Amino acid sequence: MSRTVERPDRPYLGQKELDDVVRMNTELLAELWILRDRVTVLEHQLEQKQVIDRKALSDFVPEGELAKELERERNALVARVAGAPHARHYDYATLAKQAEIG
Amino acid sequence: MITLQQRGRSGLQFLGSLQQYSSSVLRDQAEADFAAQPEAEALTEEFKTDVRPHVWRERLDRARDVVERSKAYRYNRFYQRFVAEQNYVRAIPAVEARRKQWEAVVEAKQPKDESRLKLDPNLPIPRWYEGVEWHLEPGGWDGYDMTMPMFMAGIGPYVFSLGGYAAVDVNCDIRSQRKNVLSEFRRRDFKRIYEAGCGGATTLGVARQLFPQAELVGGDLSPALLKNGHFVSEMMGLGITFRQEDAVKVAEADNSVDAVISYAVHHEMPPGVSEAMMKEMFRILAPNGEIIISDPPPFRAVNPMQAVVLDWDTDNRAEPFFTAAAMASLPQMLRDAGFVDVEEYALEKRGYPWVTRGRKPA
Repeated sequence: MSRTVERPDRPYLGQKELDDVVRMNTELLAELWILRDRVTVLEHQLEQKQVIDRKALSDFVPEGELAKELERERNALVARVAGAPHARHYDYATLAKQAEIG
Repeated sequence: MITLQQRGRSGLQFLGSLQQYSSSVLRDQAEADFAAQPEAEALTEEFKTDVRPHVWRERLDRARDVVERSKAYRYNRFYQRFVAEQNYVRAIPAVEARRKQWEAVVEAKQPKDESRLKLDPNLPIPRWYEGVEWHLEPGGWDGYDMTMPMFMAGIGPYVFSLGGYAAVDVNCDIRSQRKNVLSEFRRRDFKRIYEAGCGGATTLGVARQLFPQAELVGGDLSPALLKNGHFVSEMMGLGITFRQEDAVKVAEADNSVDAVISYAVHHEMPPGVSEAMMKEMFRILAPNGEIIISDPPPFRAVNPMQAVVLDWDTDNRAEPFFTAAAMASLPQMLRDAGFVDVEEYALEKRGYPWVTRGRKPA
């Protein structure tokens, strides 16, 4: 029987490591929602103050330099996340390139 | 009342959504998975027939092995535990960010009349109670001075109000459940009502609506909960008297109260303590006085899946006596104490709220 906040030894999903991974995933899901909530509140407030038009924001299509910037950042994010389990080594040249995209 | 900052509010709202999803979509799938198992029918019959206390542990373990074949059930339990912990992990920083505002509220609204709050710093705290971090609240009921805003501005509205934890079914309103339970008293002419293990003013606040003229008295071991209850009661003009005392030895004369309430208390205490409490309540009740108990249902009243879910709280949600209480028979304890007209029944689905009521002979 449990009397304290200490986590039980018995895993919920059959394996402790799996519990850990799903726990991280659920924490990230919480953080993702907090951020989305924040962005929605931000947009709402900016629209109230007539700084932005939310419909125009949704309809906006990035072009030129902005489109390139987004593409670079998107590709880098995909490479970092999707590539995380496959990266077997790292080197100075590859890491230095990341400075260009922040 | 205070409101939380965006991060705290949205983080707790996320937990509410996760708990709702877990206790509806995943729970329903888990029940369907269980029903499809070859052992399900025989287990269900077995749960209805032999209900002697000693058979339950082995039977629950067998049922759990079958229920846990469901992936939906395993994730359901994972999320239940996650939300139960994160309620505090997220709410405590959120209310800390509002500490100054809350302290200003407390100072401005501090009750001037302290006569209805009786604390006893020398009260012996029973061993079964000491050190338990109920419901995964760090430090237990008395571990945190901001418990009231943590529940009133955070966990209460954003998570608990949605139901879907322990015996409370999803989308159930725990406030209206209290009102429905208290409406099960047979009489309406009570002059003095006592609640054993009242915590704060939640149940007695509902009693005030149903019994506007009655004198209301609540007893509990936790000074923090009693102080919170007194604060709310005085602010709302409920006029409830709160006393720090053990429910097995209360400061009421023999035959002095007309009705006794015990709400969600017995599953948090060993059955032996429940028995002693019933005897004490019998002592203080006047002839023809009534007792109403609402607690999670016993294992014998629910299907194997729900029994496994209730048993789970014992090892996973810091409720060490949940299983022992669900094996026991509250009606038998009432009869042994001398009560008559004893009945037990469910008010809503999945056996909750579960009501046990009785009367002291005239």
